Amino acid sequence: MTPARIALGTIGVVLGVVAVLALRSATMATHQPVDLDSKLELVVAARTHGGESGQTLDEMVHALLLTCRLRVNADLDGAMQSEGNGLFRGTLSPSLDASNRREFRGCLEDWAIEHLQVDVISLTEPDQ
Amino acid sequence: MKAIAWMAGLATLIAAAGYMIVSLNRWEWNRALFFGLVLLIAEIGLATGLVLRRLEHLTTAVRHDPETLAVLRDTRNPSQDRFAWLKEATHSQLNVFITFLVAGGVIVSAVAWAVDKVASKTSTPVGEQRLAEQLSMISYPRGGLVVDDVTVLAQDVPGADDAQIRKLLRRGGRS
Repeated sequence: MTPARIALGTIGVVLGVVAVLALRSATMATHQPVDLDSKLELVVAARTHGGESGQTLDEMVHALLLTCRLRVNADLDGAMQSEGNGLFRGTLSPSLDASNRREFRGCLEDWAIEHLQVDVISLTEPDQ
Repeated sequence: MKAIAWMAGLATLIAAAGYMIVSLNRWEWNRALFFGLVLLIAEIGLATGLVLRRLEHLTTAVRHDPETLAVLRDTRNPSQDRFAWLKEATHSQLNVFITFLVAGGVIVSAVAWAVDKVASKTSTPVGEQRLAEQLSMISYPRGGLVVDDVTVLAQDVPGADDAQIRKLLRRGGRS
């Protein structure tokens, strides 16, 4: 085995270990305590294509939010309000820590419900 | 063509791996699973291609000696013409007829055997039970058609003309 091969192998192993560690840290949930009275405003843009004729966009967004809120420690404060053009606005209570926000955003933008694509426009603390 | 296939497989592998990592980083598990599946398929395809290519190299690397091959071919026994008898003119000219007759008999026997086997499977225990239930409706009454002594004696009992008693006696009732 030539030194060049050994060097390339070493570099490959190091890169692999670094990649795995980076992915581990990116997908690891580290929760922080949040204020129970805090709120989080959510604005999403939803669109559907090729869905069932009896299903409305509002229903699909509602179903997606019901699914995704089970993954975090927050509930919808009221219902999601449609603002037209596929935009929906709602409030979560209590607020979410950084890990839960990433998880919630990932769930909303994931392929959880067929024929529905949701983009999170904002997920921020409302202005006091 | 092979180069295009290899490039397509490699591009699929890299793209699927990239999208899978991005999806994992965004906590989009369904997308990550999908791209992971594509990555796995591309990986298996490329690995199979690599193994087949290595095997092909192995077979082409072991070259045969042309002289040895020529000697082997020259010393090969002439193949026997197992149907030479078909070409021979015989007095009776029945060779082909007999062959077809025997072969036809074998084929017909095989078909008959298959039909017999299939037909024997059409009568199942459940079917027999169902048939017995249907036949019970038209079967002779239990005890036979002959009226027993008690029924005969009951015909002469006063009041036997009553319709309800005749119904009880049923078989022995006077019409």
